[in-house]
Amino acid sequence: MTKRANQPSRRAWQTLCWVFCAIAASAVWMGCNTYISDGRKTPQSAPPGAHYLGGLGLLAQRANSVDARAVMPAEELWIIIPEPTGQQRSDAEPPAGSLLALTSGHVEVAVPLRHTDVAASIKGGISAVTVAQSFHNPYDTKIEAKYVFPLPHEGAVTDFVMVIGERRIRGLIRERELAEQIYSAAKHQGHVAALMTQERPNIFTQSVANIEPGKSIDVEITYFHTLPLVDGEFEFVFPMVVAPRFNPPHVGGNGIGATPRGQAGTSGQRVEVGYLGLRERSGHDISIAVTIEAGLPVREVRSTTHAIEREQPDSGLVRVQLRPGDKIPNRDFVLRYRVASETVQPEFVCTRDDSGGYFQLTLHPPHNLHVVPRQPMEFIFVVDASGSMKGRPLELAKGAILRSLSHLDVHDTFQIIRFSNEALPLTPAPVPATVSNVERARRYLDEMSSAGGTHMIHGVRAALAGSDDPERQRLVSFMTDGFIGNESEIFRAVLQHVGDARLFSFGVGSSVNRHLLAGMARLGRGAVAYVGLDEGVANAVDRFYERVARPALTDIAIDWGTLGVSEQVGGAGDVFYGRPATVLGRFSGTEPTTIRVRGRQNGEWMECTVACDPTRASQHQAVSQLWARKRIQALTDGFLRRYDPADGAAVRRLALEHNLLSAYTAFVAVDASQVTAGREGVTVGVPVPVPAGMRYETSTARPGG
Amino acid sequence: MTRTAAGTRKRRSPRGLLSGLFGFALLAALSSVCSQAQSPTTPTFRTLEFFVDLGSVEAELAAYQFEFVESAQSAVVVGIEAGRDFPETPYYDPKALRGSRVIVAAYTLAAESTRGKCHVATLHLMETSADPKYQVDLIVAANAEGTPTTATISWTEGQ
Repeated sequence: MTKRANQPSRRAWQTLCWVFCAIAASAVWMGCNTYISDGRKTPQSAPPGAHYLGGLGLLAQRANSVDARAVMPAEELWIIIPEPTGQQRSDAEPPAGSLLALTSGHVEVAVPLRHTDVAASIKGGISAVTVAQSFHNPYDTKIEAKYVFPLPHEGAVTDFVMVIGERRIRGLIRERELAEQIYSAAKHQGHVAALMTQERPNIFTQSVANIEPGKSIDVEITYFHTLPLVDGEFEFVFPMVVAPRFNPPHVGGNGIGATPRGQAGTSGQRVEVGYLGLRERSGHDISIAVTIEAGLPVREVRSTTHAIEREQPDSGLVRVQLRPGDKIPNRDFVLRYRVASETVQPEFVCTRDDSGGYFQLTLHPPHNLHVVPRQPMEFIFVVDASGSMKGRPLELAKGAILRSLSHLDVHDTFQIIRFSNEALPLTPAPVPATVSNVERARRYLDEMSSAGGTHMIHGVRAALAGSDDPERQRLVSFMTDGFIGNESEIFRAVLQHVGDARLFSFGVGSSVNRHLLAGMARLGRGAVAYVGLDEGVANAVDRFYERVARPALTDIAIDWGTLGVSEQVGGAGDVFYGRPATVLGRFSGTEPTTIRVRGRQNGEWMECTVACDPTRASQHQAVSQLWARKRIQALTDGFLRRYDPADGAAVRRLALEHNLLSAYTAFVAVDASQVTAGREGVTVGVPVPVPAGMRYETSTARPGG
Repeated sequence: MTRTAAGTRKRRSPRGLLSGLFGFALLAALSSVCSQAQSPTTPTFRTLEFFVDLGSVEAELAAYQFEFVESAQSAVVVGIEAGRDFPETPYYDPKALRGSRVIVAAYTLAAESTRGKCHVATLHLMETSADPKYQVDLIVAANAEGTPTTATISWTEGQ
């Protein structure tokens, strides 16, 4: 063998080179593929035509009619180009044959959510509500559908079923991280799966993976809710749409983002909602059916928001449903009714399981909470004058203030603070409610217009700044839609600064952020009232003054007798006229006993008694879960002062043991029996309509602003 | 071919070129292996079908409850579905729910209760190792009157 013969030929070298290159390339590709399949995504680039305006953190598209230079510093803004033809298709949407159809001047946009069906059964003031969301894939490629939607902020979500054709797969409650891992793994392997997470106590995300073209998958959610009794009326509310939220720059990505349809990933927020354009409608509609079984005659059933059909087979049974023509999910559904009763009695409802007894006690204010000469008041009106309040909401807020001013006399003082990008008071300090000062306020309100972001923190700080008026009870009234994404920051500020003041707020609009308004009232030891766009403010304001004209029953103490009560939640606040208090807790007693409720009215002690026989009391299985939901709320309120890991663990444990969706837990369901064909699908968000009464050009352009 | 500092061309030997390519390929392969090693074990999904056997076609089944445990901590239940012979979607006891333990129950008010050996439920599972250890215990099986009946439970791999 010659030396030359021992060396490979040039052709052999070239072949070897190609082999190594092929090995190297395939190895590199495998690495990349593993990286992608871990679920990490490359950052999504801005949509075509979008421009980042440096320094202000702005994202603006080329605007035809809106001047981006008018943006204030620190104001979050994006500007939507109205889509004149509706033919502009989202980059995020997969191609399909007939996505869009023109109907009655609107472009109908195909979306992966076809219908929401709500069936509520109300017994004894507790509603059991099943929400069925019908997802459908109208595209010609596999998709993952994502839907950000609202539910009542105090609802206890307790059941989750994924429906594929005739098959029903019950999902399980898991710690959120585990649920997300399970869902992610199932999604990447082609299994149909569903995941429901909580973003806020009233905002949730539904994700459904691997919906094949033309196929449908339903998700059924069940929640329980104690209906509030407001001025003698029970109120059932089903929210339908998450309104665009304003996220101050310092909240980072923890707010709720708003984007034009199909431009997911452009808001900078982890959770975001896409909104339909000016002349767009989705095929998504809603049906609602409510059955009321009160045990007593039901009367004055009405909806202040929707056209309804009702039937009453007997006096204690009422069935209500939305009129077929009123099915666009763009505002809260509000149903109110009264129950005929000569005397309103405290209600004790309970349930028992292996872990013991749970109860819910509703305390009504004593009938003899008579009108007394009220203490002089220092009234601080705080008006949200941000962009989202433009139009009818701001007019309602102004009307409420003027109506309120007409109830004040010269012994009272008042102040008006408007806030958007900053807080601006009418006067340096509160002024007496004289004719001239009220006239000055009227002129101030007349000139007030809405623009800018909802920097509510400025309004809270300005309103709750220390009062040096010992002669007057300070009442602070926020008038807002509450469209912000930094609720926790607001709650913390209320706790820090509220002092002796009380917060009595008005939620104004068609889809108010009730989590925010109710939370502020709870932490501010006051109450909240809501005024819909089609309602007059006079009644709400007059009822409010009826409330403050009768002193609250304060310093409430409850002697539970031999009931053996522990872990009580609620009831520690005050009871106002027209606003019963609900107390929930655990109990161990089995004998009949007498519950004694003591409270102070105008410095005098009052007492009422409630006879209670836990073995014969009304039963409702949901009471344990409603208790757990309230307990979680109480623990979470505690986090505003100081986060204790032990309390965090307690929230987690409570949610898991009571099958409750929470910030720490999630429902997940996987169909492990089959794998869908093809590659992992495209993620498609469900765009929603801008809430009724909001202007797309302004409010949506300045999310929640 | 590379250019030297003096500007003259120096022919790279085929052995050197081969060494370079081999090194590159080795590095790339190692990178791939490492990236795979860093990711957790890829879970797999499967179903198990559960059968309650009443022993006699005369006996009827209107309610059941069983406990399912995976003792190797390598699987979690990710869905619960009704069986072919018992149409009610089963519930689970959240207080008893641990990663790989679940108590499943269902009842039916159907006039014709199920008889004989019944496929009562299907559990959907995510397994994180190849060697899960499953155990199932029937807690109770009862007829339409609520009277417990003698029965056994078994499981098979899902279809």
